[in-house]
Amino acid sequence: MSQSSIAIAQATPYGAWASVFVVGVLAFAVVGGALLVVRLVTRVFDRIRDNKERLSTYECGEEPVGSAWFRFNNRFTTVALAFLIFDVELALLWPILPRCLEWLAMGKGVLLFIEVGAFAGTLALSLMWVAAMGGFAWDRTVEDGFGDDQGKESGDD
Amino acid sequence: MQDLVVPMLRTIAVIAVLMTLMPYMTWFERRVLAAMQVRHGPNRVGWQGLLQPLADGLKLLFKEDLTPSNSDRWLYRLAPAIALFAALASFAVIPFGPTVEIQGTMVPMCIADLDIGVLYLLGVSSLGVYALVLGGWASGSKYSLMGALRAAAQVVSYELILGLALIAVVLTVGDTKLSTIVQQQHDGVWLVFLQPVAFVLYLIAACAETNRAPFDLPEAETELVAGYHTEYSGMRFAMYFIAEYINMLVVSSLAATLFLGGFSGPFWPGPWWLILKLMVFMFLFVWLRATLPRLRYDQLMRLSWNKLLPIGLLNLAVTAVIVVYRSGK
Repeated sequence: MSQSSIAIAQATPYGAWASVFVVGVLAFAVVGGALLVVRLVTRVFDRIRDNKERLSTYECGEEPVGSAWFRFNNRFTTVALAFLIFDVELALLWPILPRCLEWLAMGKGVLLFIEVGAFAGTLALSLMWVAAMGGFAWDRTVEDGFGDDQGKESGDD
Repeated sequence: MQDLVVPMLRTIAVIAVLMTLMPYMTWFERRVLAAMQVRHGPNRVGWQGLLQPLADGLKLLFKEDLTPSNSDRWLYRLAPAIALFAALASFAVIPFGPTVEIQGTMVPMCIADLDIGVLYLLGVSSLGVYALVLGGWASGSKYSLMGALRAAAQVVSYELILGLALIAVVLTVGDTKLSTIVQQQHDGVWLVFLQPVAFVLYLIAACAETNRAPFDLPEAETELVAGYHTEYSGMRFAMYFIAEYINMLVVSSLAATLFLGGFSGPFWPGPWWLILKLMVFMFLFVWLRATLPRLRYDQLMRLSWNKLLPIGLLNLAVTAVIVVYRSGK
């Protein structure tokens, strides 16, 4: 009885995904437990509670100047966009791979290669374009034609 | 009911092993690093300092749990939990032994041998980026925000390299199920010989993904204090720390599984082989840290986008050509 149920659990994808669910729940429990322990221990052992100095932001003893949520460099956006392009490429390549063998067995390998190659090649071209536009050049200066704030030609910023 | 109890026991066992192994990784790292720098390292607490990790854990537990007044309270508290959760959950698909028979029931030595194991790992491990970004942003500190931004850009850039290396491997094997990949290596040759370029790419990307030296810019202590966890103290800091080491264990065991034949090997049972191979990579991590200086940020970005990414795409194209050519014969 017990044997058969385990065999089924291993034979169907549902069984494997059920284990993933179990992992999720247990990982959640471990993390939740850790947080609970932190809460309890600090409740019991923390002597000094209201101390403004100690709760202030760590800046080597100086008073923090301005908000911590400053405006950051635009280049991070370029990287994020480039990442999106290629992550989508990878995400779309994954479902093709398991089907590869079937197509190869049918003798359509070259067709498959051309089709996927055209897709990946287009994205590779876009990578070259972003690189040529200086999207990944972090040490660029105004002299290179990339103004940071008030430059005349600000490129892709 | 049996369907859930058995996986639950297996999962508890694996999490327990991970949580035991993790503190000893810190001991291992400190001792090896010390030996490489002609020092002793921790050797006082217990025999050869073996109780040091325990003492450290206890110390962290009793440290005050600070929430800075400038921070975004809830996100600040949530972020380390996300880090630990993602790290623990990502180990689920790593197979650590062949199916064994215990009291008449067949128990697979893997929590969940998914058909899309590699993809699951990629997805869950990238959840960790949220922890870095949210934690850094919510701290309300400039150091943390800069660390978080760097971490996000770096992890995201090297995730592509990782993905390209993994796709090349999967294309060679023809399956995304990790146990099949191990089986194929057991029957044939290790994939490190078939995919040397992907192996090197994977190693570089794995270092960057886990924010290890020479890619530890997010926590560059000389300029950013500690990066995204500047404001964290006590157990919340420890959760980031544990997550980092468990991530190292996960990328090491994935490297062993994909390129060095995973748990397969003669004489010993599977888990021992996996741990042995995993230790090779852990040693490599420490060795790199002792040897290489930290990269500059522009070098880091250039290495990823202008060098490794084209190499990865080229490697994938060459692999595809070979696979198609061999199927035609």
